[in-house]
Amino acid sequence: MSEEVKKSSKTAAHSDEKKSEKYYYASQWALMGRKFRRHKLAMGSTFVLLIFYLTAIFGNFIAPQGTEQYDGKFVNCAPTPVHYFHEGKFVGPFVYAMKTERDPVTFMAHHVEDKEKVCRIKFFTEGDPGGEYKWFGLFPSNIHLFEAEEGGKIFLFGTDNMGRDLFSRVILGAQISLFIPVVGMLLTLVLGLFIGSLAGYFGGWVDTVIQRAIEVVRSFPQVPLWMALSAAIPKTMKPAQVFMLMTIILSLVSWPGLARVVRSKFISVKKEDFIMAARISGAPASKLITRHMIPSFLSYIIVDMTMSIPSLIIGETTLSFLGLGLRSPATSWGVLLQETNKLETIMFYNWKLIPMIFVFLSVLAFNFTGDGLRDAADPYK
Amino acid sequence: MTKYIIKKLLIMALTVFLISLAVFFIITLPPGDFMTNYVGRMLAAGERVNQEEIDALRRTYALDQPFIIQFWRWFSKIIFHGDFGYSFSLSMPVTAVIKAYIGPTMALSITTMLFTYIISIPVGIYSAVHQYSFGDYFFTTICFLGQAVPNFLMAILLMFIAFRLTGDTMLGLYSPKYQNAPWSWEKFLDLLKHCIIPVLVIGLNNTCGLIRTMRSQMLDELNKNYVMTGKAKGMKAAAIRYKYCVRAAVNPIASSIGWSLVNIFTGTTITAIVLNLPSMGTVMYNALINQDMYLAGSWLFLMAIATVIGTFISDVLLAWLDPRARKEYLKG
Amino acid sequence: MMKPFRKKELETTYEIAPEHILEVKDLHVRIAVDDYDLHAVRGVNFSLKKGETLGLVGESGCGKSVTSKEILGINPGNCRSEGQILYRTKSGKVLNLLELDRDGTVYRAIRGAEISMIFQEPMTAFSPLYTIGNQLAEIITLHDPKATKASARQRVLEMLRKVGIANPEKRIDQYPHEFSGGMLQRALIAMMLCCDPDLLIADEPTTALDVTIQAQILDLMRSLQKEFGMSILFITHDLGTVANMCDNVAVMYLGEIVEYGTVRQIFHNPQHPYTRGLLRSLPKMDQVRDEKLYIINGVVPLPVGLQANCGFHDRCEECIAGRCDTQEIPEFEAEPGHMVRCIKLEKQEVHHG
Repeated sequence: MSEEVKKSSKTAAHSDEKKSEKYYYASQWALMGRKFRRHKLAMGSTFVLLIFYLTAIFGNFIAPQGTEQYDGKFVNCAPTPVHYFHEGKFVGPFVYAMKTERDPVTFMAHHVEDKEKVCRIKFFTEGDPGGEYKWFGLFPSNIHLFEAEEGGKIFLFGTDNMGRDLFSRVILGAQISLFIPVVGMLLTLVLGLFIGSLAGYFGGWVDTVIQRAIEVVRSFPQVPLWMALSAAIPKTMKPAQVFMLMTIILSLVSWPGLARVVRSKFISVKKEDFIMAARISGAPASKLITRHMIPSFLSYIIVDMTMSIPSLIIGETTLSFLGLGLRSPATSWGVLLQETNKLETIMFYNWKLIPMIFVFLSVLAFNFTGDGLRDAADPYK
Repeated sequence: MTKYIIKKLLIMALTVFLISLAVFFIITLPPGDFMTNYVGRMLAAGERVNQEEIDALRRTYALDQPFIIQFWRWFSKIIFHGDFGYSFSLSMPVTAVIKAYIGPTMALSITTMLFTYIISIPVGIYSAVHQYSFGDYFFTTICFLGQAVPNFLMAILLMFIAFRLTGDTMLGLYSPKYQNAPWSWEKFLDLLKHCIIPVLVIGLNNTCGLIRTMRSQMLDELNKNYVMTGKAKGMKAAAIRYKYCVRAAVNPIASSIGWSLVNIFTGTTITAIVLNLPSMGTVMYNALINQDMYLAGSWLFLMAIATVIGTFISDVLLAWLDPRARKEYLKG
Repeated sequence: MMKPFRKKELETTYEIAPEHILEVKDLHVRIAVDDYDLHAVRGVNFSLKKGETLGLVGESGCGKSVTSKEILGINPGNCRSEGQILYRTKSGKVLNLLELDRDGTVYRAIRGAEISMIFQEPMTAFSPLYTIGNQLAEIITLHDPKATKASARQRVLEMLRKVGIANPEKRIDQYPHEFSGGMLQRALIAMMLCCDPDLLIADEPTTALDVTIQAQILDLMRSLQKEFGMSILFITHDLGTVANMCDNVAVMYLGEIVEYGTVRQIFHNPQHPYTRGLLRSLPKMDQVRDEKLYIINGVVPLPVGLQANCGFHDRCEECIAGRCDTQEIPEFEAEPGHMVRCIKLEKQEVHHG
């Protein structure tokens, strides 16, 4: 063995030693983070989710159209292709202007590209009136990420039967479809943790009452209860209020599951020596609960919550699809998919299924992330 | 044992009462009552409305009384007379509606459940035993994908595919020509054909979930110490798996049968609406939309009761299958 | 990467010393965990005579259990092994166990009938879903095709009585959760002795039990050994039990046997600093009350990326810099039959020689 090889093998061994040492002394969260990063699928999914959420947050800027804008001239228009070359020459991203033709047999309107007229895509442009929005609800603006030049229209995902740009609607819908589940989950978390820890910590009659309540709510099958509750939302309500009510409904139905878990964790953790030690040394109940007991099973709760988001996304989408949750002009992925309920729609205008891809991707991404988190939190893996 | 069962039944009775209270509260949530809605529609249709008649109806259904009295009227009728009230939108007693729809709903649910178990248990076992093999990855991927598609989208997609392949959307449970035909072999085959999509759609989510549960249960069991004892005894690895691991892994799943049936039973709701099946789901949906409170309420109530009973059955099954739980159960 | 499964059984014949029933030669076991490749057993050699009890001693994580499970071929699939484990069957044939198909007929006929093992946690060693009687009778019907249900039950009752379980007629139809830990360990011993094995591997059989029960179980094992005449490979981290149970002792550290000798040699003339450390950390009857118990600093490192040196050098109080940490330590004979893997003995040899 040459001297150099020896040396390198020695440093390798040394780093291995360091590695094993780190392994022994790393904190629970550091270990979790490390294991999670090794889970490639989960990392990829987290990245996808990050993009989705960022897009939703800056949705009003990215979407060319606002919620209430529509163009009656371009109803059921297929996605507009973006081109780069016109007659063999590079002109940068542009679309062709569109003209409307009527099918001589069916008399159905078609929108076709007018290969003569080139409309470049402009970036950071002032939008049409009606596209105004407020940055973070504070600073009014009407700047949009992109728009076609005068005369051209750009509908990346096509339009619906009112001539609304589906791309914009998917992005604006994400603001509802991606945030209702998260807010609902947070509400569930608060309710579940609070009620569950009350039951688990105090026991006795408090526990009995809470247990009964949990049993009653859990006796209701999730979907019908969601349906019944959201059917009670008055049709005249403002979208923002409906949003709040929806999150409350979603979490009302799902807190008992979490409360039950928290309760049983509490009961088992109560018997652990470190809790006994803290209690003997005089820690008050509130501190005992928030500083010692909840952190001891927090990782489990986080995993559980991440795993519960997909069913909330599906829940909201389904309810809106059935017309029981949000209604047009408010937008959510479920609302967008309402149109696909008719077979003819899918036959002739199959781009209207595009929102489905986003439902699918976000559910999948949350599932994978949750799975990765669970594996990472499992100390035996 | 008797004492335990009595205690359990008493708790169940209390739960049922609380559930009915909650149900009644939910169905009275929407502003106005059915009568306001009804009158509105009559007026819209250009019919004349007799205010006295309306008031008479209001009194009959105690709609002018406080919540608690309305509730008691409703509840006592159900308990003492098996009378679930009257469906205003269908103009028939709720009991008759339930009778008409419970058959197809149950048939569909039980078929789906059989499908679910027959597929998921063997696949789950296979995946666990061959962990990280190609087959395992294949099934795990399918399960992940299957769980990510909401039921209604799955229904739409399959409907679309069926139409593309056969020119028939397979809506409903029968083709139009068999709708009112007497029972025959052809009608039965037609029914089976129409069951494929609903069973697939309703079953898919459950099957995917069950495969994953079965797989992880089985993996847990395969890593238990008694497997090593079995090996040390000289048992064949496959024999250990089937005598010990599968039995242990199936237990919690088999004991969830009661609960699972209810789950599928309600899972039919959405699918039924999209596929236009003559099941309780469609009826419930229309009742909700039309604010037909007694019909919607009865349905919700029945679902909840079914869940309570399902949970009870699961408890008993678990006690029967697992000696440890049996002991707890006997102790009470 | 997996251990090769041979379809054709054994072409080579092996020889071992006539008085031996087991010889382990240069055994290496590597375990793949996450991104690590743990070298859990690193060239272990030992042999076992008929009727002899060998103690395998060391802290947790030094490869004792892995070694013993490798003899039985029941390590999980992420382990791969090299070397030889030669075993003389009841029929007198010598087999290299590492060459056998792990799930094949030959190996399975040996497991449970010729080589048995009792485990650390009797509470989890039984399946909770079948009665004790069912699980015990199984080992009999597995190895004796002529056994009937009734004869197996008779044998089980007899064995349960032998291991001191009161009221076996009632106990035989009970489930594991109705037994206490000590009772379960007795039942496990009964099970593993049902087929009269030649070699019993006991993997820390008393660790999970109460102290009073521990003594009972050890007594039981000793008396059963007298009756059945089997050899025992006794794995423990407790030197106290070793003195009670064993004829010879092998001290393991980080996958290697660092000292081997008779019980007398190890206890009266320990040579390796690790063995001495273990002995010093035992509480003694004549110890002064406030005197602190000795502890060996640090923990057993993970066997990852190990170099050619003494595995114990970083915890050793007598470590010689430049030697212990840089070179492979050979075995030295401190006295006849007393082997030590420590560089200090080299000096002695130089002195004397």
